[in-house]
Amino acid sequence: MNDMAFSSQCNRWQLRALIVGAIAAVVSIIGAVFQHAQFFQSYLFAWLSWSGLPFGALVIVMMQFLTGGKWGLALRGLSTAAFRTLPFIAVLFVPVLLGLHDLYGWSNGARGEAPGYHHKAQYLNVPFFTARSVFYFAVLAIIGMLLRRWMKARGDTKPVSRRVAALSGVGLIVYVLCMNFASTDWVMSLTPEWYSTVFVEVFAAGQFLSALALMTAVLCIFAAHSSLGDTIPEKVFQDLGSMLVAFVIFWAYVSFSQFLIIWSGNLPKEISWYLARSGGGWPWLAVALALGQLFLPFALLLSRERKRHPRRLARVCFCILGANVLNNFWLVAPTFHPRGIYVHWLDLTVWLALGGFWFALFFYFLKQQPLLPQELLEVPQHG
Amino acid sequence: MNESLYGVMAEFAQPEQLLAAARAAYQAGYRKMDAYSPYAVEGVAEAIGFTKTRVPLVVLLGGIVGALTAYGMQWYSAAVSYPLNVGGRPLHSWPAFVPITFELTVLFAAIAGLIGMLAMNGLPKPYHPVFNAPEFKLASQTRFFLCIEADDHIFNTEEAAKFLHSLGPLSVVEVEK
Repeated sequence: MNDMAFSSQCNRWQLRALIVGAIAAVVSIIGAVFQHAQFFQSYLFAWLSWSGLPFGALVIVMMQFLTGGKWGLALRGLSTAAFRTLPFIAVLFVPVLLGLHDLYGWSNGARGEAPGYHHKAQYLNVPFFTARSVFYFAVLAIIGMLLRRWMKARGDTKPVSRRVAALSGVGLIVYVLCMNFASTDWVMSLTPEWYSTVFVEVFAAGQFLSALALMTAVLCIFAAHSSLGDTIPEKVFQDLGSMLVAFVIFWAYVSFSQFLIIWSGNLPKEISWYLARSGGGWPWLAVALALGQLFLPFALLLSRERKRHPRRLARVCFCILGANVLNNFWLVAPTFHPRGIYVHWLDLTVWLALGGFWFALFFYFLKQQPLLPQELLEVPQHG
Repeated sequence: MNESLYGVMAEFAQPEQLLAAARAAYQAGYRKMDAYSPYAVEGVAEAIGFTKTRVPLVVLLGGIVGALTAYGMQWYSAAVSYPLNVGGRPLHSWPAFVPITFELTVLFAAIAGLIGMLAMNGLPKPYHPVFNAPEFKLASQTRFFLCIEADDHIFNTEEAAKFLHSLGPLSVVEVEK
């Protein structure tokens, strides 16, 4: 595919995403006027869904800088475009801060009477919460910016420089530490008495999985609809498919570990999170999640032919992406509606609005650089 | 035809030559042949007409048997044979059965894969005729070999040797059984 066709394709998708985003945003804002509590609940779910992509993409890029491998080379351009949206995701966090009182019980001091809560107020208070979130975004965005600048200065064709590799190593550790606190702040603190030490892994695995599935899907679509497909070795798609299997299993492994440990312990503070999800149809969401983000993609990706076939691989990616949206809904929504499964139309429109804007920006960044680095295309085929 | 002949083998210096030779031989109608190289050369397996093995199927069946065995064993022992009340939980508490089920699935699949692989590729094989070729030890170092076997349906010693010579090999030798 030549550069002209590539950028015009990006322009087309960018425009479509922008239109969807704008329409959904108008509808959502009208909804927000009438039902502001529901709006903020929908907003938190939508924001968590889309914020996972740049964070996960940053991890993909840093992992590739550290370990090499053609699979990551094929995703580098896409992932770079995705993590460049991090400042935008940070700006989109502002409405969450505006809606703190509708989302997080602790922000009202309403639970001040509950035993064992008082000491948590040292950590869970509005100024500190805001400062921490700003810190996560700033640190990770700066790491992403430096990586991009240093890679650009070095040029595409040479191997990764030492300082890029070193920053990637440090960056991965910083990412995990940031997400440890971020997942506590953004999601776990919705139920302030609840805690789970494995939750950061569930959260980060979800982010990585969504980013990997989306980048793979976009690569597959470009490959299936243009001459690009012939320039990418089949092995790249097979490796991406195998990575997807590995991370589908990893996500299921940590999610189930969390459940099994809490279920075995059956302690009042820990089990509360699952009790809110155990009635009124919520377990069916868990079943859908297990199917969509474990059993179905796992079974489909057992086939090597499917992994090597861009169009069929893309379909598996969409299955994982859909399940990942449900996953974010599962993390947030039952807390607000413990009595039974509840989907509001704002959940959909806010999700579409943020997604439309996110994709528009993603394609805007994507067309500024070649989709595939020269390195991938020039590597000779050998065993 | 020479009864004690295993096949005719050509020796190549480059992996690309081996790949091209394998493709040409398949094109020429040869089916019973094998390629030998110090490392896996991408595409050669497909070029000599190798498509699939049934090892993945054996692994899948092993995994399913393992999962059923593990779950059935736990269910039978905890809920039927020796019912035990653990912390007031139901006798058939599926979350507790999952780790063992997962482990036995992996174990059975791996063992089935190992046994299936050995059963289908004929290993261990203490004697193989290709080692009769004088330079063959280089197949694990720097050289690439393609051997057209004598039991191929269109095999003819002179023509096979002539055909292999036309591909630009370092040498062509007849391999005794």
